[in-house]
Amino acid sequence: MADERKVNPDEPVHEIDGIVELNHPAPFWWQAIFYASIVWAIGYAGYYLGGSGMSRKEALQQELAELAAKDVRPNASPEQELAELKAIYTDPNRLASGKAVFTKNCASCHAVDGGGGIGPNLTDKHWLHGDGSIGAILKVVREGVPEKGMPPWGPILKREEVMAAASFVRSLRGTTPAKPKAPQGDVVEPKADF
Amino acid sequence: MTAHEKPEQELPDLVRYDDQTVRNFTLATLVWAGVGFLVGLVVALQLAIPALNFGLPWLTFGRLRPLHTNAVIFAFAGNAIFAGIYYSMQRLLKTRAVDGLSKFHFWGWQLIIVSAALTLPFGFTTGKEYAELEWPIDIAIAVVWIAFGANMISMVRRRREPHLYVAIWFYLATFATIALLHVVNSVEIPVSFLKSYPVYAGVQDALVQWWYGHNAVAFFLTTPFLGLMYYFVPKVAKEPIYSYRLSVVHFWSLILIYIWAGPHHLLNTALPEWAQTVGMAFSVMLWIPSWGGMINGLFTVRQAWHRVREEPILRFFAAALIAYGMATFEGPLLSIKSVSALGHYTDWIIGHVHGGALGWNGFLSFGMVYFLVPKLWGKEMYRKSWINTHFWLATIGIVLYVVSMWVAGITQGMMWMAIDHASGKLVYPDFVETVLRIVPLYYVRALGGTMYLAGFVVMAVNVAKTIASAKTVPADETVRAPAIFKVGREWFQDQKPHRILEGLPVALLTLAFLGVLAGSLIELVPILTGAAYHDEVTWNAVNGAAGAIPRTYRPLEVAGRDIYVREGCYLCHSQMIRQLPFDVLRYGPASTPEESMWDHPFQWGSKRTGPDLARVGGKYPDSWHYRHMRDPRDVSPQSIMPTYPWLYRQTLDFAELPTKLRALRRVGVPYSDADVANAEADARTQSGEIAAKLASDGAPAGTETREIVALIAYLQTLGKMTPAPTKVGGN
Ligand code: HEC
Ligand code: HEC
Repeated sequence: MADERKVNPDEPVHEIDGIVELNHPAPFWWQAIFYASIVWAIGYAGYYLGGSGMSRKEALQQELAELAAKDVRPNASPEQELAELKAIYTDPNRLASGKAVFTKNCASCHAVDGGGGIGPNLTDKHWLHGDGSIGAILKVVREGVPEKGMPPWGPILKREEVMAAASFVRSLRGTTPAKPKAPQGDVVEPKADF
Repeated sequence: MTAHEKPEQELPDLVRYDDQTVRNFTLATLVWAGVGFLVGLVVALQLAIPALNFGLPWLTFGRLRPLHTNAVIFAFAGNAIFAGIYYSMQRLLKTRAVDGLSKFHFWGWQLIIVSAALTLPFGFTTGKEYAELEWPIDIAIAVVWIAFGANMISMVRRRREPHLYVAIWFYLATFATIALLHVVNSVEIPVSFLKSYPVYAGVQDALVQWWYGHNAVAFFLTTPFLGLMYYFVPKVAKEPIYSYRLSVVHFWSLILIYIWAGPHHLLNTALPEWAQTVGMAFSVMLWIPSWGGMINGLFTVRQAWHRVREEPILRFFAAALIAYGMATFEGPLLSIKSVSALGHYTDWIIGHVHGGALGWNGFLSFGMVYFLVPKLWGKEMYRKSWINTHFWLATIGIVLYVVSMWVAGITQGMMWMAIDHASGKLVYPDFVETVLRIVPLYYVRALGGTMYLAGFVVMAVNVAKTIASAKTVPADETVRAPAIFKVGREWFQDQKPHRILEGLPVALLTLAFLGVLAGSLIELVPILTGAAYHDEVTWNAVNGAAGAIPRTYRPLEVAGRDIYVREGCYLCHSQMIRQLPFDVLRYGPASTPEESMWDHPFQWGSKRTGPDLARVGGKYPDSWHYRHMRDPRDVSPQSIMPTYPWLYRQTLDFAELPTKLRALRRVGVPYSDADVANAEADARTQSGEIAAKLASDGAPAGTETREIVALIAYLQTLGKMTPAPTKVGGN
């Protein structure tokens, strides 16, 4: 019985419907990578299935903890934050960046000019949450009112962006929007403002 | 030993091949290719220009995309496979197919395709990718498929050649595995004539679906095409197959490894991690067996390399093999968990699929058609130079398509992943910004698609002219052949083990089937028996994430969910927040398996053209959705989401809700008798409440009977079905 391995690979081994089959050995690199991939797969699966590898869930916990650690707000007291907000409010460049944040993230619900739509009118004296002071605005923008459809922006935007947006909202007070939404909430005067 | 040792005139039998069936399948291939490619181009353009959805339900992206995928896979590639199999198998076995079965197969398959075209655009869908067809059609597919298998088995048993050629191993493995995949994945409970719920839910449905989906690629778009390659490439190259030995190794390793790889579609999701690990390991091992087919083909072509220049068919084949090699390298690459983290849900996957589909399946089919038409109609191709034109148009089309999708996918994936180092926040929190960045590439893709389609039109005209010039259809080819082969005891002597198997087709078929079945069972059974839900509990307890059994959907929410499925929202939106930090930062705590445990079918999705919706419930007020669904650009100015005006006109069928709840109860959702009895009343109460809220926010009165209200009710449940998960990752 002829051993096919010893046969000249250029000799046909079979023929069917005019198709001839030769019997070259599989290329060396092909075999080598195949065996290597099997060895690797066994090692890889063994490592993770055997419990030596860190699971994705554990890794996720670590990654999130690292990210959360970066995001600590400087231990700013309300007074310090207020001072910071004031600095933004009085700097036209930084206020303009607040406007950009607002246009991109808030206008879909509050209209570009703050006149309101899905969310309330932000230019009038009526407020649902707080007294319309810059600190109260910052709080609602940061924490949101998720059950009423106002997203919390603290987790989404950067700290400076949230503060800039809040300052910009404060600057809308008393402006005249193109299509003002009917007032919601009580008329209040800002107390702890600047 | 072989028939060819005797002079032909001494052979006892006269065999007439059935060429009419091959002609029929060839023409059907061309017709459905035209339809499939055209619809593909339309959906590609819709992503760049949402106005092209025209506000018409049956032209909207979510309904046309399944039509496109089903048309190209099952209609174009399917008919091409059948044409090639009937042509080659009869000749390789020197026997005629069974006329009745061939006719039944041909017409049955066309009927299935027509019923797909008549149901999918009208929203009749199971909501499972590549298995969208509803239950009556599923049954028809099973019946026709069995007829096809019976025809092949009859042929191998009446063969006049002792051995099965490698092409036929691939055909038989295709038959057995597709039958298994289709039957297992399609177990569903009918609600009405064209509506059903799958028996599987959530993570179980996800695993079964991607076991099916991945292996549909393996056993519908790979193994049968490898079989065709083994027949038509040496025929056109007029050269011997490079290595028999290689074909044995790569056949068995390919089918036995492929079956395990499904979970690579679910990496980093709520699928239990062991299954992901196994899926990834097997996917990496799959690379080299796949390349076994490519090198056997390419080395065969290489022997006739000088002829690639003058023989355009050979050029199609060489390009097809190269495309196959690229796609089967890219696949294992994308199956690596960290690469999947970047590529999954993006257009990279679309590029990957089309490299395979347009390059491998398309080019192999085109080459085969150019080879078959002159043989079947007895005329040379009308213009040989047009074959070249077709080749170049299609090649440039593929390059534009694939490169634009690579760039789009990787760009968008990197934007989704980007986390600002200093603040630990996403760099691009606004999803739409990441969409706008890639819209220009959607135009490039559409241009590529147009060129590919143009090339196809050149081919279609060429074939039409050729056929028109053939005044009469030639008679079936008739050959002299030895008597029908009978396995005798003495035949086993002197045979190597695999040669013996090649002489025992039913054994070969059974062995392949058992191998594939074993892999499937080992992977599916632990998850189907509920183990997925158990190991979550500890993790959830530690992290304060959901971890509790979700409540069931209220009847109105069920109706809304059915609308979500009907409109194909899952084709643009995932509902699966992966266990990756950037997913958690963007969408909220990672999804848990329990959260979708009542979801028949699961709606995890596979593409994020829009943002993930797993936790969209409560994110916006009802009035936001009301305005958004009517015209997304009203609230999200540059959105590419289609409009859904018909949801504001069409009324809800409250009366069918008890039937739906009963069907869901049959598949395991714990509805009580009271729930079923009150279904209609409860739905009316809930829709009344939502409509009142909408009216107070400025919507017109009377929305309580409209479909939009049910859809909003459903959207507001997403992420809210279990007790509120504590924020993982936010501040
Ligand atoms: C998805 C729609 C939506 C988006 C986007 C949105 N808001 Fe709101 N917003 C609302 C809703 C709704 C309310 C009212 C909540 C309520 O009824 O308690 C609201 C309330 C507010 C309030 C309090 C108003 C009051 O009367 O107390 C402020 C301030 C505010 N939003 C600012 C912003 C800012 C700044 C952004 C962007 C960073 C933003 N919103 C983005 C929907 C939205
Ligand atoms: C062609 C792809 C596409 C289809 C189909 C599609 N969407 Fe969208 N969807 C988008 C895109 C892009 C966005 C992001 C821009 C926007 O808000 O409109 C989006 C946003 C959304 C949002 C807002 C998500 C968020 O967190 O801001 C919801 C809700 C939504 N879609 C629901 C649906 C529903 C329900 C369907 C089916 C009826 C659907 N979509 C079909 C592309 C699509």
